[in-house]
Amino acid sequence: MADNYFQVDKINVKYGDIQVLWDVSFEAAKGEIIALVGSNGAGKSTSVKAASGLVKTCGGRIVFDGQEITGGNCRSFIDHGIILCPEGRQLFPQMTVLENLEMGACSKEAEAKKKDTIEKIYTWFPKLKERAKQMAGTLSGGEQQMVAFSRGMMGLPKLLLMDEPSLGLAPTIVDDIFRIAKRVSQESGLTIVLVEQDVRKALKLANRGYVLENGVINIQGTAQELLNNEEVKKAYLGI
Amino acid sequence: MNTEILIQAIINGIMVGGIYAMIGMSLNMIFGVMKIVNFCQGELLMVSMYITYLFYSELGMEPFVAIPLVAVIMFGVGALIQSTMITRSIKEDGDQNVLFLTCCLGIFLSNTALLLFKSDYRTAESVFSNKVVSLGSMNISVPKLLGFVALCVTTVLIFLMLYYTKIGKQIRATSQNAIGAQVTGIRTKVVYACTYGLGAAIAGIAGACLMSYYYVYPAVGNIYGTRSFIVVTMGGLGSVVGAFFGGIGLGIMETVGSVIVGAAFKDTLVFIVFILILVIKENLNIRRRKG
Ligand SMILES: Nc1ncnc2c1ncn2[C@@H]1O[C@H](COP(=O)(O)OP(=O)(O)O)[C@@H](O)[C@H]1O
Ligand SMILES: [Mg+2]
Repeated sequence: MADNYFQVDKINVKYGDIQVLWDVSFEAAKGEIIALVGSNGAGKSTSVKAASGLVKTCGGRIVFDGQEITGGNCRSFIDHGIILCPEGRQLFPQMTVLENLEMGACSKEAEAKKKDTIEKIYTWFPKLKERAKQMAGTLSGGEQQMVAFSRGMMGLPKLLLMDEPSLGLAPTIVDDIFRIAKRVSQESGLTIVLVEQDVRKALKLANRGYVLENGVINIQGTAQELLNNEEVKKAYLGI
Repeated sequence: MNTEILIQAIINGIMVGGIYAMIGMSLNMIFGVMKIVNFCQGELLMVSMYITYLFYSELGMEPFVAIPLVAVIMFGVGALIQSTMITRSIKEDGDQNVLFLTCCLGIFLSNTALLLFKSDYRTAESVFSNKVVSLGSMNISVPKLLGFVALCVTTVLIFLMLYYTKIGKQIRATSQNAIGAQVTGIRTKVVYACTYGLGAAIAGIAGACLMSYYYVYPAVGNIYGTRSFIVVTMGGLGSVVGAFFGGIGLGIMETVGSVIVGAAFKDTLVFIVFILILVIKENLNIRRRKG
């Protein structure tokens, strides 16, 4: 089980007066890949937004690498090495692919290693090298997702949160991105939190998973446990 | 009407339009990044005219020399207004707050000016005031020409800043996708403060130029505030380049209009054209949506 490298502990999130997360907890060991799954509107995006400082939590704690980081903003989370690839990619459409990547190099260290990181990214996705000078807004959905993932990697994350990277994409492209994410995780100990609606797809990549329903985590376990869970089978796997 | 008069009118229009272009650009810069319509842009211009006036009356400073100083002061004023007031008024529950805030700020600024300076018209003498250069039979007022040069320099500098500096890239990124900006670690609050500051600084440059051949009084912002909305409607809301041409277009419309229909009716003409543009644009939009 997890050794509390990254620990989200009983967080609650409200949008105005409406509470959407209740005591949500999940954790990941260093280098682990976990999945947050659940249907549309369950609170997956809100969970990763909270876990990356994009929305404020009320109550609960977020601990990373032995440090409590609750209450920080997105930038302070990034400074700790936590980076979000948000839902819908959120690229800069009137900037080139290269400019988009460069914008991802936020910290001093990432800035200094910018060139090397870009070279590495080009070996993962040769397509992006071809498209380096093209405006990001004119790319296909798959290419945009590659840029989004790569822009996140430009910040040299220790923890990468990916919010529905597969949304609207062909399975082969999703497999490509997942394969690379897995390799980076194995090679450099990158910890990944993956959000997916599709349980089967998510568990291809993740070792463990959490099922969110209406802002509450009801089921959790290893990939195998979830795939064998009767409730999960009925509600999410259509068996 | 002979062509010579017309050409002279067009030249004058381009010169006058330079100020409109700057004020429109500053409005569009703020709108493009923050998606808020700043209703006190004219009053920021008024404030910078008074600052230029004070430099002149207290220190005897030439208005054109004061440009960089006024720009820097206005940047500070703008950044302060944004980071202390506007940022607090932007909440999830709609944009009306910002609208009211900037409106009220405009009223507050012009009334403060009224309190401090009375309603007198005040001028600042430039060494270039009343100077004219002649090109054949055409005459160009030197301060207006310098104002136009200042506009061109400002525009070029803005572009260099937006495309080649770190903060410039961050401003562009934030305007294109605010969430994307946050997740790449851009301090959007700083970007917003800088953007509003830049908008105010551009108004400051316009104000200092304007002061060399025009007079300042507390309500002077009204004229330019209204004009700035015409400019951005013509050039496109949010587009800096559009504002450049929109401003010059409006200037030409005014001067050529006053040749054709007489100075007394030029404003009427401008607003008629403005309404026509709005109607035509809207119709085109509707047609595009249908087609
Ligand atoms: N900015 C917001 N303001 C108000 N409610 C929101 C906002 N974002 C999401 N919600 C609500 O919070 C709930 C969870 O949304 P979300 O986290 O996006 O779910 P998921 O990513 O699992 O589809 C939904 O009911 C949604 O309507
Ligand atoms: Mg979502």
